[in-house]
Amino acid sequence: MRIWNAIICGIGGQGVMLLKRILENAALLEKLEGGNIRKMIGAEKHGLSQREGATDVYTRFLILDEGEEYNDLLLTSPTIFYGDADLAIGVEPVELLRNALYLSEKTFIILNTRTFPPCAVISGAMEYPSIETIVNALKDISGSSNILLVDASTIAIERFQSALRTNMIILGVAYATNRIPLKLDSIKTIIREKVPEPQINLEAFEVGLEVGKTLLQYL
Amino acid sequence: MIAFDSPGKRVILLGNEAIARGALEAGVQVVAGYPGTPSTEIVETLAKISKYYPLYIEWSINEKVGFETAFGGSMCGLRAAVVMKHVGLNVAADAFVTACYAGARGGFLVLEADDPNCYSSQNEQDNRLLAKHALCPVFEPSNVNEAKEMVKYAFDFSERLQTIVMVRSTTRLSHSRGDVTLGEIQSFKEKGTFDHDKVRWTFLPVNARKNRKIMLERFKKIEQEVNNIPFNKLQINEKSKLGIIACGLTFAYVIDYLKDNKLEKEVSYLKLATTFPPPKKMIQELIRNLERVLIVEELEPFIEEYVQMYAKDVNPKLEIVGKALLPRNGELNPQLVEKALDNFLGKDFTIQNKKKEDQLVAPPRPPVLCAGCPHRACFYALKGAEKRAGVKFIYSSDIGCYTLGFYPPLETIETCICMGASIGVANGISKSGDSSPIFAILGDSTFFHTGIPALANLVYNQSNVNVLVLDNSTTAMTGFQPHPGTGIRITGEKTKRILIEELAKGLGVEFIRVFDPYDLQQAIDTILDAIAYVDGPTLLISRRMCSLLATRAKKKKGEKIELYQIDQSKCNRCRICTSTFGCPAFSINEESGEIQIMQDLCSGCGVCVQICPESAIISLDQH
Repeated sequence: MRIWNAIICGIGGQGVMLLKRILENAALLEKLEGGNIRKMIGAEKHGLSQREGATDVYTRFLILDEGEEYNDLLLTSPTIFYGDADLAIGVEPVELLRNALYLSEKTFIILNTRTFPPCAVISGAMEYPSIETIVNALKDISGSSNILLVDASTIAIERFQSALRTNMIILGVAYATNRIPLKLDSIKTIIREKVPEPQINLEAFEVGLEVGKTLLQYL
Repeated sequence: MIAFDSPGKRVILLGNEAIARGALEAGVQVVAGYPGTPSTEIVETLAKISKYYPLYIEWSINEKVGFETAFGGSMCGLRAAVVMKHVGLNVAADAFVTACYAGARGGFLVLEADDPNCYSSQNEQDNRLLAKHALCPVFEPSNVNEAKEMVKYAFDFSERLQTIVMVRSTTRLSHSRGDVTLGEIQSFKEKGTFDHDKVRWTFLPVNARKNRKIMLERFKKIEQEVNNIPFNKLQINEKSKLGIIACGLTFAYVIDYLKDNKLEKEVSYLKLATTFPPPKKMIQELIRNLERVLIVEELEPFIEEYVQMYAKDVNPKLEIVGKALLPRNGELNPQLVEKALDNFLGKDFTIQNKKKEDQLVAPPRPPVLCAGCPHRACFYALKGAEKRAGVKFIYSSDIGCYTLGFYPPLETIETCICMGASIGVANGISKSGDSSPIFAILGDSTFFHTGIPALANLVYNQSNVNVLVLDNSTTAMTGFQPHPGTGIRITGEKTKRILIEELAKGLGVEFIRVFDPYDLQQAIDTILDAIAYVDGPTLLISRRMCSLLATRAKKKKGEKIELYQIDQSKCNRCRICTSTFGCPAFSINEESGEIQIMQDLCSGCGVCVQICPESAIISLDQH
């Protein structure tokens, strides 16, 4: 029996919720096809966080080995323990820093390096930590070989002329690291069937896969 | 997703969608509610499918009217539900407390969601206390699938025992997702028929005294019944002297901890679903042979106090621990429960994180008014008017997106108590001798919710308050629900539109002005006119559609949105745009220090063009 925990952080409007829903629906697909993933739960944020506020969501899978018996009481909490994330995706750097207590040596981190300073920073009232500070703090927790940096927002604008593709590119990068216990086909099926503008989003996902493979060589 | 009867199908549902599906499976036929995070999606989910079933659904103007509407349905023998957030029950309390005397005829549920940690609320009240006040039984689900099953069960329970039932969710459960097995949708009644049992429904003192006795008899039965409810689960391990009682969703944190650490066999526990009235027999059975018991519950020590009472009969030496190890404020989570359980059981399973909380400081990111938000323009105009008048205004406000005007750089919100309070509070301030101009600021939906009686009160008492309705043609904060001022019903069809200015005229307000906040000069002039008027209340309506909705509508129609950019040859970096207006579409380039407009955020409102002293903000086409 294994429990897989992911945390995805960003700001309202970046498609954080969509990433989570792709993962959990792909997991359901595998469950219904008789795969080892037997349960998927998670928590979201609605309401105030939509107004470009901080958004952090969790998704959790229960994975059973052959012959292990399923029980409803295995994996029930929609949120995760501190330090218990297997995968952490920061669509915005400071938002992952804000949730760093959920990370530990076992966490693999995908960090989009494009920053979106909060209003307090733009108006001059506060400072945004440098990206080096953030990355060093995260490396201190997870180890330097457990973090992949990607400027997905720039890639999205260069390749697709739209920052809206950022989240799909990040998903591709994350998948390329082999840290998501789902089949490639399940994710693609869900993008094709449940995500608006599937064609362009699939393309962005593929771009992310390629970028991820390249980045891994330098890790 | 939940629309059709497909028993056995497995789908991933949001907690609120599961609650809605449970109500549908139980054959609910009258649903009323008022939008409020974290409960909104329950009504929205049912609204999407209402046309396929004999189901009447409405957004009521407030929770009290919603409660009464659903209660009317129950009086006619139909299954009915009213949906609201926790504070909504305060608004509905007048109807709720007395209706609980009468009880339900058709199954009647109060589907409500508490908000521990005030994620989107003005307080974190524990509605179990209000339920106790009304002697209304409370069911609390512990996961998404159970939420659906429990709603179905609660309808049967309500109808069988003729009692109103509250199903209490919390933000965490309402906004969790889990996979759910769909069940069969039960048959619906052809129509409701009013029951002419006048004594039951007419609360003259003589009837109220009778109904009170009937309610107390009914409550005795409920106190027995809750010991047999399948969602309460008692697990006794004979050898253990330690026990845990976990209420609602907190059971998930407790069982995860016990399973993860292989301690399930070492303790006895009670998973508690009916938190009011608590199942006395079950609790006494659990605690009879224990030395210590830990009560895990969010917010108030509600069950803890019952356990203290129940222990007197069966185990007076029992050590009862609850709020001594768990906070009474905020939301519980796995780490808080882990810490409490570690302490209670004498273990140490906490994963040590190398960093401490204070070493990971991130600049806060509170929600902000969106790019192009008409509220920002209006607040900016208020500050401009303040400057021109040379006097500080008093800003009394309300619940809605505009409450975000509290934050810098706008800082034009000074009070926010509850829905509709802007006007009442402003009235009191105006009568207290402070001669500063007073603005009562509220939204269009909030105005209909509880603003109307307060406005009538201003007219009646001739108070010099300037009521400023920020009319963005929607209930924006909760996700764009229609209201009486939009002329659209919940299901999308057109209805009679109520114009706020006409209503105010009818109430006797003599100074009424409507302006467009995107025209700053017009807005400032109107505000100054209003403060010069001192013969009673004024009503200003700042009317401009929510920018998110307007942008969506334009894109749908294929209309061009005129975007803006900064002419760097003119910009002298005075930063008035970023430090006093604070639209999130502005960014500052870290290397060059140039101020830029992010085209993917800009909504083309053009207000910043009016505030730039160097005329450096120009149309994107002007290049």
